[in-house]
Amino acid sequence: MDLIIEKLSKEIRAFPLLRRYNFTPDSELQDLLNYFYFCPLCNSIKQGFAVEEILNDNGTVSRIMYLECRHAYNWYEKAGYIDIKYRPSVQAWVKLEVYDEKNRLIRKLYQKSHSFLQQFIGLLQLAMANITNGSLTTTGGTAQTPEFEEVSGTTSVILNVMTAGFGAGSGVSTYGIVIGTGTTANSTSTYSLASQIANGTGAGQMQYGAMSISSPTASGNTISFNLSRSFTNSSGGTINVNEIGIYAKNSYQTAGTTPTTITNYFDLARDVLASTQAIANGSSLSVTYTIQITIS
Amino acid sequence: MSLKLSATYSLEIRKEIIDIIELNLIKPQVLSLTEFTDDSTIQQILNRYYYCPICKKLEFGWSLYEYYEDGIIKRRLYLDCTHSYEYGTIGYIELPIHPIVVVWMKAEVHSQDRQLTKLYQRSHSFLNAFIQAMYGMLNGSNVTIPDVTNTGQSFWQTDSGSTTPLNIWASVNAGASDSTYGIVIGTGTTANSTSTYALASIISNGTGSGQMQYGAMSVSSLSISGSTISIPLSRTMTNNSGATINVAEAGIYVRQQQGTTNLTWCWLRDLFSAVQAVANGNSITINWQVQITVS
Repeated sequence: MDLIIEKLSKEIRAFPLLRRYNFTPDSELQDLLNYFYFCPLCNSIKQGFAVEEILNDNGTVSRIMYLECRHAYNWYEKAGYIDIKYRPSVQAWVKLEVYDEKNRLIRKLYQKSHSFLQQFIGLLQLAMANITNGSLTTTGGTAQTPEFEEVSGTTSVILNVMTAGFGAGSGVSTYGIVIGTGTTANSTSTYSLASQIANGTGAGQMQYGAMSISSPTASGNTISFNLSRSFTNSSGGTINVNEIGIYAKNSYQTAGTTPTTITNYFDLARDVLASTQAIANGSSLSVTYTIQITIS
Repeated sequence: MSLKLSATYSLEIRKEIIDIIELNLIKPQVLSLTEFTDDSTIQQILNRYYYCPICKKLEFGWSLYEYYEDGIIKRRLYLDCTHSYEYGTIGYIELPIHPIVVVWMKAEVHSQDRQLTKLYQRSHSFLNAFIQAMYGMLNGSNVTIPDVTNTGQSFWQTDSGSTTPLNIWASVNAGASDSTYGIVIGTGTTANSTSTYALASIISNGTGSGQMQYGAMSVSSLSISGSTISIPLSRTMTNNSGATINVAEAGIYVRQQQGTTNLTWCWLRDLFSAVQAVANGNSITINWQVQITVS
């Protein structure tokens, strides 16, 4: 036992220096958040969950570390951590960047995405089983059948199995990355944001930009791609963003001589933020989801 | 306790951490000598960090192999570093983890009258074809992805007015005797890389030398337990080739049918932590559980 402890004590490392005047690159934040930390409040070891970086008036960047227990600590250089990492085969990351009215990056929140939802795994199950009459809950809370295959007898074929990007242009808030003010925790029956922020310039509204999805890229044995979208607050007041998600659209044409296009929306992922992001009037928010696999 | 994570207190923090680890080192629970361990208990066992005497550090559990020897069930624990130990000989600590997706793989070898072995391991690798398909799905665009023959083929997401209909999007629900898609097994041991597109050496369907008879795929409904939702997939392969076959790899091949053309991609491949020898007349059942935890 003593020998083991002696060995483990050598696993505690000094933390790498972070940039005093710059925000930390995403890849370094991912690395930091996969370590385990000691939480004095829980009196136990927890995984990293999120890092929030804030640009101060004097040009320095201050940092807050959130652990999986949701306790948060001011970040100081050379803080201790445990050299034990978790290396999942699938990971998703969330990044929120807040820009002021001069388009200057003033805040960055980088956190692990916690939740794909039942609609995501349900979609995979229906597809893998080749079930054509199953149902998933739409963002409106009704059960609908997503169409993966062309309807027999269709004369004018239109089928969009699933998209969170194609066609989700500026002003479209029904699919793509969406944001909200709700703080309700996810459950296995969550099917939408708790309180979505609508597109517009009215009170409590934000202007949705066009969706952008990058092609997958490989780095070492990791392959990832990004989904991103910007939101601008021209509502006249500050809006607090607490939740984000990925809504996907499934659309198809019915059979017959006068086919009708059916469109359904499904919430594939939702995350409650580690800390509320207050978006002042005139400011904008950029949200990025990174979907990542590690091959071994 | 009101420690702050600062350099000033780093030595104190170190002592705290050591104390915590020391207090939490646990001897693994005793398991049955006559019964194979249930899946949920094995998942708990594998979700722990063990002290690896060879690496001299804590490593995550990867696989538990159970087998009959001298009339009792023996067990070997494999860690993520791939070192293995007789179960129960190394201590562990519980570190809470929060994976967004976990995939479990189980391989069980049966003779005609009883179960012989059980290999339960955390799946390590979705492959390039999977994330490319996810990208295409979220982007709403057709994506060219190397198929199981390493030929770039378009994985369809959308179809506007094509004369070739999209008849099957991404199915694994293969019937009996069909080894072209669904869960497939092989004898290869090549490690995965970002360019892996198929099993290294697939075992084809049949009763000839080196072949096994594939049963029908089973894709069960979603299973919900607490905050976890999973898709159970399974398939049994029987060896009537006349000789023992060593199964070393398994994968999930997904079929898309464009008109009458079937295209196949490998979404997932895992090397077994321990090669499974399937004697003539015996069978192997592969179960995969794709699992998300909602929080």
